[in-house]
Amino acid sequence: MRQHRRFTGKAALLLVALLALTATACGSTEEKRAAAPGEQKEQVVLNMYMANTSDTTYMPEVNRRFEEENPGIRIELQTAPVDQFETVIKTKLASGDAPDIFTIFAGTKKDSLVKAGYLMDLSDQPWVARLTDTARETASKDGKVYGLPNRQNLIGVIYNKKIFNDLGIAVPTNWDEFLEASRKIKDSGVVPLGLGLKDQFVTQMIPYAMAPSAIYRDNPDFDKNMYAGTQQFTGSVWEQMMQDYMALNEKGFFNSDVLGTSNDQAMQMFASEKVAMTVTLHGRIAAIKEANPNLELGMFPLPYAKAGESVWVSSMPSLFGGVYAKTKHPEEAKKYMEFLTRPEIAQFYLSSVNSFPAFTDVTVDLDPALKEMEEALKVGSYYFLDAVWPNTVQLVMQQQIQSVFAGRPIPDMLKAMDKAFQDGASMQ
Amino acid sequence: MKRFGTDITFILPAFAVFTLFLVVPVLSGFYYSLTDWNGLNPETRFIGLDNYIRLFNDSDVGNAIRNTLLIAVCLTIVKNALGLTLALGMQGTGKIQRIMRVWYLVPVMLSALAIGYIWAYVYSPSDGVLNTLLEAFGLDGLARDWLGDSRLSIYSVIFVSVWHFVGFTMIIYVAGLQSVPSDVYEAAYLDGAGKWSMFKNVTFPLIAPSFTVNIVVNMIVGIKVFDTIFVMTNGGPGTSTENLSILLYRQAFAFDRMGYASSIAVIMFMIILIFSMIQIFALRKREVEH
Amino acid sequence: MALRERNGWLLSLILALWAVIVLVPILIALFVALKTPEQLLGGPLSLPTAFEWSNFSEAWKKGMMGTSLVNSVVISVSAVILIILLSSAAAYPLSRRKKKWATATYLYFLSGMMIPFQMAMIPLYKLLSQLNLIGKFAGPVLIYIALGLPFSVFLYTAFYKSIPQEIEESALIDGCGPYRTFGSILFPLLKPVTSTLLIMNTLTIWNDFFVPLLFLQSKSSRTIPLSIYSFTGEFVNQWNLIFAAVIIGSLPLVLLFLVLQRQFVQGIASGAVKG
Repeated sequence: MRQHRRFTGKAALLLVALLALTATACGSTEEKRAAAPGEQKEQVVLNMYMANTSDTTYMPEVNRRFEEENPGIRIELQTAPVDQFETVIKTKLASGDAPDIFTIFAGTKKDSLVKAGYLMDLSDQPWVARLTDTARETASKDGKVYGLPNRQNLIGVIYNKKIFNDLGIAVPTNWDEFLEASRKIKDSGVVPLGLGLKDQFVTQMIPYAMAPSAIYRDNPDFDKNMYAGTQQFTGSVWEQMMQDYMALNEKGFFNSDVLGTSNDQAMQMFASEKVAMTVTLHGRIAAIKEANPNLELGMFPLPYAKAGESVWVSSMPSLFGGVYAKTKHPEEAKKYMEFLTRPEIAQFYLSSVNSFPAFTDVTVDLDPALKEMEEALKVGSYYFLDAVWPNTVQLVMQQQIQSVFAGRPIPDMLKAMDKAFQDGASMQ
Repeated sequence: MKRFGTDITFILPAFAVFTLFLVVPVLSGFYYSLTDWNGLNPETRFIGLDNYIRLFNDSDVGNAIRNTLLIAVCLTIVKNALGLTLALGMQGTGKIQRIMRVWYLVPVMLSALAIGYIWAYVYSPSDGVLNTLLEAFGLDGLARDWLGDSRLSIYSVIFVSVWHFVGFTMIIYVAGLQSVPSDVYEAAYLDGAGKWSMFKNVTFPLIAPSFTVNIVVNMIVGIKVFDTIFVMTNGGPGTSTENLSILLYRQAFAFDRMGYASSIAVIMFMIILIFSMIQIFALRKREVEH
Repeated sequence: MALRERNGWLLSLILALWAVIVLVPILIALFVALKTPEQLLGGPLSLPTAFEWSNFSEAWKKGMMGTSLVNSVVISVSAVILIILLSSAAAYPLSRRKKKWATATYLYFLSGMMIPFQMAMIPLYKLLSQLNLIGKFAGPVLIYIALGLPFSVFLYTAFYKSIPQEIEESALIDGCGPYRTFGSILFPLLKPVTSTLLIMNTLTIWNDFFVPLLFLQSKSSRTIPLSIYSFTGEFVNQWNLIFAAVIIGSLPLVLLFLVLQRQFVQGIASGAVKG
């Protein structure tokens, strides 16, 4: 009997310890906030959960301005590294504990969220009419708009102007000129192209940049036919594209050991002028300049075309985010989205991230390095390919490109991509 | 009966937390392996064993199982050999031993995140530390693309994992060795036992529990390893370092196939279970024999 | 000298070699943490020319590391203490009883080591959100306890077996109840294992990234690894700040270990040798 009493004592102690932990030791942030002086009681809190992209760099300032104008709304911004963002947001959504506004990705990537009913239909918002056609398209599913596009991203060749000038190289306008320029640079002892293929997303840059001129300029229905089953990667222009991609490596135009080099290292090599060109997103320009402010940079579309043919650009609107369908504050969330589309706000953030607008009535002064791209965009462009593919294809392609660099035959890669396409399309 | 009641009071708190916060969630996870859940949609369809049938025809799974076993076996062998060696050298309470023990444990204190960052600098092919050092010693021929060569990358990752965690293995051996009374050594020493025979007949039987712990735990950790691969290669180049954990994560959160990912998890669980059973059985027998 | 005499040259060589292999990458981390962004372009092996100690204060401020340090300490300490208490208690009867139920329960705990955590993520999130524990420290603490128990039970069980049963039997005869026997006689004997487990569990929890990422979201409740990750971006990773943050975040663990190291040796002197 005595033992039992003692047990109850000890067990109670443990239980109390556990409860104390649950209840007190760790007051939630909301409680702390509520107690802070000077805040109105009925303030609406908008929770934002954003991937740590360059958008998050200007958001504190934009949010501050929004709160100033709307004292009844407070924004709680939380961010997560891009790598893990999707995992976290999917977990939250599946568990019914979602933020009011969160990052979504353009094109087919957002479709599974639409299908599961997590995204609010924003088609009736006033800003929809001001979107560029491509922006509206990538933000939509079955004719309804589910996200707010905020800027236009480009993939192209970023180059070191000083190296080009010293060697007397003009900006190449077709593939032969591009190869010739690369040879000249290599002969001068500089690495022509810096790539960090250890990071899987880098593997796709060159095919994405090639595809608009190689496929979609002449065959705009390629992806439609893929879905219809009348077109395959196998036996398509892809084989030639991959061969030409690999040829760049065989000719020694890439940095050595390109598979073991990380993107950061490749960018560092570029910033320290060991490399003359790289193929990547235009957003890197700012990052490279930050590492070495003395560089003079330019950017041109990867000229994967024969002489005399037109060169198309790989270009894609990106989405700021979407609104949770079951948010408790739909009006406030929409108000916030609308705030972001105001020309003066859009100009502020577009110049801070150095990007082209997604709205027809907004103009921005961009970095001079982007001037050449502005002209090129008018010729023609096509999306980043994963925006149209089922979401299984991109990751398989990235892995497969690494394997091809390690010796796998190109037809095997295309077969794997075909299979991933069919698998993914059947899931949609 | 009274004793049983007391026993329950000792076990219950641990049992409750463990069951509620790990076992129950995992069991519901296992249920998903019988569905086509994509990890997002509220509705799921019960599809029986379809996911498992698919597993057997998926070449990625075969590749991941091979990589998983290779990593687990290598990690277990190397960590135990090195960990025991370090522990044997670190016996005693002298100052040097104490400093060295802490020193060998320093990597353990770093997060996988930090390890990924640091070793990217070491393995970098162009200006990486390892290749630069090899060249400095005139061993240019040994310089490699450590993470980019798809035949080497898995061993490069294994080495980092050893570097990271061998301190744990060592400290368990140290704890085991220090429970060996020093007069046992002295007696054996006076009997004129040689170093090897002393190790085999005196030291080893006494540290057998540590040995069991280290073998079983390292095998399990080796099969499950995720962080190190995730930060170093994310399974690449290609699928050359993709093990079951990485494949599972990818299927669950990149391909939106939570049901299928759950079936991979079940397979992983089975592999670990089988290995642990064999080991515990074999090692128990050994312990008893001595 | 003394070390070499006792160990022989081969063993000493291995010990020294591994010490160097441990040293080099850590030295690199230190170098990077002391460089300016421009110096980083010189490659990882170049020595920092001017020591940028300000990287540390900048990382501290920008990463709000003061707050995350406190959060990490609160979470790790509560979780580790509870792991030690719960597992040492549970392992005691499990190691002593030769009954079927004891073996079954022991294996039940062990099975926890075999589970891939990713499996449990979504159901766990659902559970914690039902219990209203998202964003509160209790959530991660409870998860860490559940995750830490299997190995701790495993290790305690193994080491209880090396403690002769006569010790507790004589205590029982002397009139000590089972709880006092456990608390004042057995638990002190476990000191070496306890300090091992203290270290191992603290390290795992302190460095864990995923649980806080999922369950603690706001800046004011984030832990050290989340602070470190805050210096990575889509296009720019601030390596010097990342490494400064890594070093700041690891220092408390080094200190903890230095302190426990003495405990560890004492524990052995007082406990294990007599046993």
